[in-house]
Amino acid sequence: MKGDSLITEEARAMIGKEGKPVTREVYEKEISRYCYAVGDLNPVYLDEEKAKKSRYGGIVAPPMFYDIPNMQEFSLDELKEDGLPEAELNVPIKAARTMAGGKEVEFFKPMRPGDKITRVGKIVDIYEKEGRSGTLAFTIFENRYTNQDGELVAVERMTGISW
Amino acid sequence: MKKQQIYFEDINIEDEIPSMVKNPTRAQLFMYSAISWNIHRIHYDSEYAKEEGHPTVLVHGPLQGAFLGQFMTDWISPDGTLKKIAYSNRGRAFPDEPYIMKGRINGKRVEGEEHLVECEIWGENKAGEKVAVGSATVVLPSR
Repeated sequence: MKGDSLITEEARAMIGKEGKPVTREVYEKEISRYCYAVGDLNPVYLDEEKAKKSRYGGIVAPPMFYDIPNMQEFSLDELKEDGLPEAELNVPIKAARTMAGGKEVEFFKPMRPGDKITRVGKIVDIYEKEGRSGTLAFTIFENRYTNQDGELVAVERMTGISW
Repeated sequence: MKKQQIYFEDINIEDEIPSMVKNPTRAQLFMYSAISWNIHRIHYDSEYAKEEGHPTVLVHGPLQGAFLGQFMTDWISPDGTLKKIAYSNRGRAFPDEPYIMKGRINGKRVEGEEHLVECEIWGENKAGEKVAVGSATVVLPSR
């Protein structure tokens, strides 16, 4: 590898360390509002009577709802000019820019109204590659979502690309 | 009208998945910003979006992800299950323009009791650019 590494010792030491677990409840109204927002009006998400007769036996959330209950609120004074909160990425990489490089989600069980979903995040890996215009650092983040019975509901992996 | 279930045996490698079109509006972008607590101004403030170099507000990457999820679940419902989805956002999609999802079968296999189908999926903007590209694994019922 030519040039200096973007990955600091401090960043390397964060690999594999789990963040603080956060638990939030799944509300039927939130599922319903999500479905109307994305335009997916499948009755198994919205209609208790029809959902009862389905293979789910009751209302479930659509798979892509998995991260909604755990979305973190921000106060107005935390927001920057662009509307995003400060310091989204707490990885000490020596790079000026970071962009989202893709997402992969695996689903194990549907979420249901009343579920209490715990999200635990960690950095799975940080590695570098030589790109056309210099060194790129790839940070792989993972969020694991489990329900109140300790069952794994979904696992999400996101790649951050820094340069 | 009852939707016709698709079965594992109906699927062949290289088959195209019936495409799905969404027509996101500014109102929809606002609703998705609200429900996902996404306060990024490029999704609802066109003046600000221009400051960031965009012609107008942009369809959220994760909303495109939700569209792609529905593209799969509508296709496999009621008895199929979305097991895995992956996507990355490669370009811009705008409201008041069609967002077209397409896909192709890449593989099929049986693992234990599960009949799995691997799909390549993507979303195109009005200009025909692939603005989200990805893959999905679904479980289908077997005859």
